This record gives sequence, structure tokens and C-alpha cells, in this order.
Amino acid sequence: MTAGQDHWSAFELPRLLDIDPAWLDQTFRARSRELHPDRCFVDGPEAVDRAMLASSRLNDAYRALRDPFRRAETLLHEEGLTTSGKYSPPPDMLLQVLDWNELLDEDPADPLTRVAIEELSAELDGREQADREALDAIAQTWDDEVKRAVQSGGRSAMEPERTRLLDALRSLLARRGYLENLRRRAANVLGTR
Amino acid sequence: MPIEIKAHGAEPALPKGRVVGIDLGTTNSLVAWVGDDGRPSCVDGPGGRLVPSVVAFGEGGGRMAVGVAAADRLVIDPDRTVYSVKRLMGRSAEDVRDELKFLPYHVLREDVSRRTGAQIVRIDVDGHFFTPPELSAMVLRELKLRAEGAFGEPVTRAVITVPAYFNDAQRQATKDAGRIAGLEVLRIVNEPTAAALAYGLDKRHEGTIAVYDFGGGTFDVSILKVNDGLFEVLSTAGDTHLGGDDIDHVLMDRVLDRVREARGIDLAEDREAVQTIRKAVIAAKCALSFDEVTQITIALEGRLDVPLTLPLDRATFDGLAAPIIDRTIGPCQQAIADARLSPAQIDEVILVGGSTRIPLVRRRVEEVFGKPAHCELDPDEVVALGAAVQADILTTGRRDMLLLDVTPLSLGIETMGDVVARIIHRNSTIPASATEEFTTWVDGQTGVVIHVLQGEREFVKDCRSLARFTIQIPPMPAGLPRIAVTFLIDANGILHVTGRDVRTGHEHTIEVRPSYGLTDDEVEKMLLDAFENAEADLDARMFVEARTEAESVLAALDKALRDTAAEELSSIERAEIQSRIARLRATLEGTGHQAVRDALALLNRATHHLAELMMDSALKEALRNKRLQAALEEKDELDDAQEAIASAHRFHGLER
Repeated sequence: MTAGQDHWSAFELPRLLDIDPAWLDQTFRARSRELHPDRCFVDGPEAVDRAMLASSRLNDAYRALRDPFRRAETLLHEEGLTTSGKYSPPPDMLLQVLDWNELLDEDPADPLTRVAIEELSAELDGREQADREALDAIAQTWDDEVKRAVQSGGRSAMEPERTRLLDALRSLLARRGYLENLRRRAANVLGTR
Repeated sequence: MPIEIKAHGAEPALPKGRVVGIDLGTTNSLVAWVGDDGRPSCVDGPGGRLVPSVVAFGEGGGRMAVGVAAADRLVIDPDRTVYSVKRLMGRSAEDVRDELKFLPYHVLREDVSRRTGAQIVRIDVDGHFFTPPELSAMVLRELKLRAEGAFGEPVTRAVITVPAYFNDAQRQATKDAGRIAGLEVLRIVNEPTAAALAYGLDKRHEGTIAVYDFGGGTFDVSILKVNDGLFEVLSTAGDTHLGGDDIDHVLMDRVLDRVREARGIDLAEDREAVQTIRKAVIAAKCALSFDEVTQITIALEGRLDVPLTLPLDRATFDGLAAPIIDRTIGPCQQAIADARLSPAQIDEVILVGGSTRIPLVRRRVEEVFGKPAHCELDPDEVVALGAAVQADILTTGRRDMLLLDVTPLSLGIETMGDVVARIIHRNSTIPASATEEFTTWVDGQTGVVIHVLQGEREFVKDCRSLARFTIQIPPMPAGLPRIAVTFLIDANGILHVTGRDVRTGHEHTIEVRPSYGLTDDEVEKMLLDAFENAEADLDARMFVEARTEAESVLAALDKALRDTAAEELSSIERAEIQSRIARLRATLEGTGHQAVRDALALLNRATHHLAELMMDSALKEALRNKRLQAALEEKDELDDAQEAIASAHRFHGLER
């Protein structure tokens, strides 16, 4: 990726968070038909090399944008921010997650433990749903800002709002990353995955 | 070498001529092409469309035969007959240690290239060493010859298939084999994907499909979305060391145990016996795909003069094979989960590979996916047919079909604490790339070492090392240099590495050292060797063909001489025949095909009268019977007469 080309540009989009998945799939397939190296094999190795780069850029972008959470991570990355990683517990839930971790280390053969893990699993499913809704809310506000900026031909006038949204996104992703790990562990313990 | 740095320059435009699709299998290989009608078909040859992936050498490591003729030598000369080479492609001696107990050509030696440190195994045949790509090249050359024979023109370009789960080194080794065989490999295609292409030619097979590919040595499962000519692989999983061979090994162990119990002899170390048993259990396995019960009969001169017969019914077979077949279920579930689907969302299941003929395999597949599987196309041929379709897509541009495949394994780089940082995840659509920036940690540091790995595990020791290389940096204060390294997995699933100096924007030269496999120079050398040996190879091949013919003539003649018709031969005639037989046998000890042909012609002349006598007596016999027997049996008798005449022709039919 060269300077000024982010993953959104492969789809000729500004940095939006809410992208219609059906549109993305369809556009990806249509552009693949144009860009894939197999389409220009008869034109010789140089054309194939060019197509290889163009289609890898498209594929990389599709992968980065397809899932809404992955897309949000991509946005943070493009904006020069990093997430704290999925292994640091969210500060506002520290005590709670310590309890949960302890529970997941217990013997699931014990019926009471099993019931508790099942409850935890349901709790985490609920939180995952809540996180999706929280992401949707941030995405709406963010996209409105981006669209306004595109229309006015420059950056958003509301720089503080932009920073606030990115911060919110960052803590949402950090929390979700951690909880997803727990959710996976719970599923493994229960043998549902 | 497994890593290719951008190597394209001003290459000539693609030459004309037919392009073939090749399924280079563990047990059998096939070559296919697309005709003017746009339909793919496999090229036929002596012994059918399947070419056994077997290379037989003569004494002293001279090349003898490939394919059907070589497969015949598995039992006679197991030490010098090499099969299942695919299991060794792109691997180190340590990787293949477990395989060795079943391979009679067990002399394997590891070589480490002094220049690059790359590891590769070599197979020792009477002091001659061959790498797996060289041996595969011999099979590929046989397929190339077969195709050239069918088309009457040279074949120089091919699409070759590999198991979807092959890693970078295994793919590169396959590409190297193609080059050594004199083939430009236009594309490496994943076997299950190729199968989907063959099925997808007719629009009935659209939607979400699963391809279950269980062959001789490998297992793959891929989930694809097929829509309007676009074949998008969603996920793939598999095991490059799981196949019908493993079922054979279980059966062989059982037979060896029974021989020990019943006769008190241990044949496990007797290579010839092991190959005889292998042949017998494979026959039994195949029979049980149709029959409920069969028997394995083992007769071995000097060890089991009284043949040992073991009954085997399907229930017992299923019990023995189940643990192996069940190992395919995990990857199936993994692939379904990775595609983010449930079994119910998969519209169709396609069966590929000879092992899918086993009824228990079909039952298991049906259980996993909840629906019966398709097998309208021959499971042995479907991969080669798909490879031919891909060759056609690439070279004619006339098809509105496109294949979007994925990389089966994650690509990572070593970071601190021997941990692998994944930069391209498995099941990413290819071509795929990732760019990482590297800098220096201490002032004046002139190099940054990068270790590239493939695999899903967290630690370096559990992943497959692909390559190591050093980025050369002019001495500068720590942290000042910024080198962006781009890792690109191309449409073949093979890695390319390029570097760029971020501050200056200049291309940065990177010399990549592969961890396994051959270097470009070595491949070039083998290509030259192959050309130099082409004539010797052709001679050896013609000798084998002449010998095969001579052996069948001698067998037929031996039978004829014991026939009553032969009693009418004069003693002079008889002596003449005997002396010419001796002469022919003597030529078989040599290596020249011309001597065999000459001796055959002489023998042929000497047996002229015998052939006439045989035909005469056969006709007389038939006529006499015709008069005596009821009209109902007439046809049978005539068939017998024809058979007798044909038999006479068999040892005397060489004038044609």
C-alpha cells in the first residue's frame, strides 16, 4: 500500500464504518473479475505482475473491511491509533473479569460450576450483542461526520468530536477483544465449539 | 527455492500449443486437456488414464520405467522402485521419519545445502541420489510424453494441482518438478478447487459447495461459493498426511500379525513380502467397496509356499478403517466453521479421490454434512479435468470463469520470545499481502534478520520455517532506518518478498534463504541433467517395453510348447526354438533394447511352424466339437477356438 491509499480507497469509499455487506460483497466480486491476474494471463508476465498487486490490494481491503469490528480496528490503525490488545482486561470491569477467569479455571465436570459457566456464557453473548449495538451507534455518528466533511470538501470542523469517537471506539474494541477471548474459552469448556 | 523474489523480466510472449492440466497424485497421476468443444477430458494411454506415480530404477540407479511398467516392479524389485514421492515433497528428513517404515526404498539421506542452509531429502538408489522433485519430474515427463503422443505436438505448459493444504515449500517443490520435467508451470491449483471447477462447468452446481477430497496420501476439504462463473473459496482445511495409504498400512499390519500367529514367521522386514502384502490388501480394500466379504490371499515362494488366506468382511474392514476415516471429520467441521456456515447451509457435497469409493467414507460424509454427496464425475479424474479447465481459462481468456482461492496456512514472522506474529491469516483470499516496517535497535546496526514461518501455532518451534533473510542496512543511528517489507502470497500460494526503503522510496534488495527445498541453481542444473539424460532415458524406456513384450511372448510360448500340437514339431525345430529362447533370455540380462528386438524376431521365425500347428489343431478341435455338440454350445466352442488362435498369435504375432 502506498501513501494516500488506505483500504477504503480500494472500494472508492471515504473512511466509513457502516458499509452495506451485500454491496461490499458484490463490489468485491465485480472488481475481482476486473483485477485478478488470471484475467490478463494472455497479456504476459508484466501485466500479470501488475494485476497481482492490484488484486492483492483489493483482497487485503476486502478482508480488512468485511467484518464491522475488523473494519473499526482498521480505522483506528489508519488514524494512527492502536488498540491495547486483547490480553489486557478492561479497567472498568477488572474485578468482574478476574472472577470470570477464576470460574473458567475450575473443573467443568462439577455440575454447579457447569451451570455457572453456562450463565457466564449467556452473559457474554448478551454483552457481545450490546457491543454490536454500541458499535452501530458510534458508526452512525462517525459516518455522519465523514459525510459532512466529504460534502464540505475538507476535514470535519468538529475535531474534538472526532477524537471522542475514536476514543470510544478504541475502548469498545479493547473490551470486546478481551470478552471475546473469554467467550471462546467458555465455549471450549462447555464443548459447544 | 520456496521464496521467489520478483523475477519476471522481458520474457517472451506465451508460445502457442496445447496447455495441459496435470493431477500429480500420491498413487496415480493423470493428464487432461480441453478440446475444441470446450469440454475437458483425460488423455488415455496403455493401461488406462491413470499413470501410477511410480519410478522403477535398474541396477546401479539407471532409470528404467515410469508408470504402469514401474508399478509392476514394486513387488519384484522394491528397493529400486520408488512410489508415494508426493509424501516427501518439500519436507525434511525429520518430517518424514514416520513415513519411512512403510517405504521399501528406505534409504533416505538429508542434505543441507552449504550455500543456503536449505534442507532436502534425497532418495538413495544404489548410490545414486534423487530429490523428490526430480522423481516427480520423471512422472511428469511420462505424462508430458503421453500428451505429446496423443496430440502429435510438443507440450511445454501445464497447470499442476496440489493438495489445498500444501505449504509453501511443498508447492515450490511441485513447481520445481514441473520445471525439471521441461514444463512451464502456469499455475499451481488446489485439488479440491480444481474439482469444483470441473463440476461447475455445468450450471447445475451453484451455491455453497463442499469438496471432500480423500486421496491416496492426502486429505483436503474446501468450502466454496459458486455463482455465475465465480468460484470463491471460503475456507479450506486438511491433512497432508492422511489418505488411503494409511488404511493400507493398518490392513498390512493385520496381515503381518496373522502370518506371525499362523506360521510363526515375521515378514515385516522382508521388503518383497511387504510389497506383495500391500498389493493384496489394496485389492481387498477395493473389492470391499462393492462386496460384503472378500479374502486376502498371500503366497510367497520360500516363505509361504502354502498360501495363507484371510477372510475379510466389510464390518471388520470398517472397524479397522474407521479411526483413519474419522480423522477427516475434524477438518470438515473446521472448514465449515471457518466459512462461518452451518452444515445445513451447504447446498452440495462433492466427492473426490479414490478413497471416497469406500462406503464408510460416504456414510461419514453424509453424517457430517447432513446430505448425500455427489460423485457423477469419476473421483479419480475430476481433479485433472479441473486443472485442464483452469489451463483453458488462463490461456484462452474465452471463459467467463474465475477462481478466487485462499491460502491454507497463516503466514507469520518471528518476534521476541520465539513467538510468531501472524501477518496473513489462513483462509485469506489470494493474492494476499502484508507490509511490515522494520528498523534497527542499536546505533550502527547493519542488518535486521527476518524469519518467515507458516502455521497456526504461537511458537516458532511449532510452525514451519519458510525462510530466513537479512535486510542489509547502511550504518545509521538506531531507529532511523525504516524498511517496509512486503510479503505477498501469489495466486499459486507461493510467497514473494520485496523491500522498500520508506525514507528514500527505493526498492530494497532482499536475498531470501529458503529453509527447505532446492535453490534456483539446483533446479537449473537438474533441468540440464534431464536434457542430457533424455536419450539415455528413452533407451531405458524402450528396453523396458521390449522386455515386457519378450516376457509375455516367452510365457505364451512356454505354454504352447506343452500343448499337444507341439508334439508334431521335429526335434530339429524344437532345438532351434530352445536355442533362440536362450538367446532372447540372454538379451534380457543386458540393457540394449535393439538386441531384445532382434532376438525376438529370430525366435519369431523359429516358431512359425509351431504357430501354424497350434492354429490347425485349434480349428480342428473346434470343428470336431461343433459336429458333436449341441447347437446351443456352439458359440462357446468357437470362442475357445478363437482363444486358442489368439494364444498362438500371442507368441507369434510379432510380424505386424
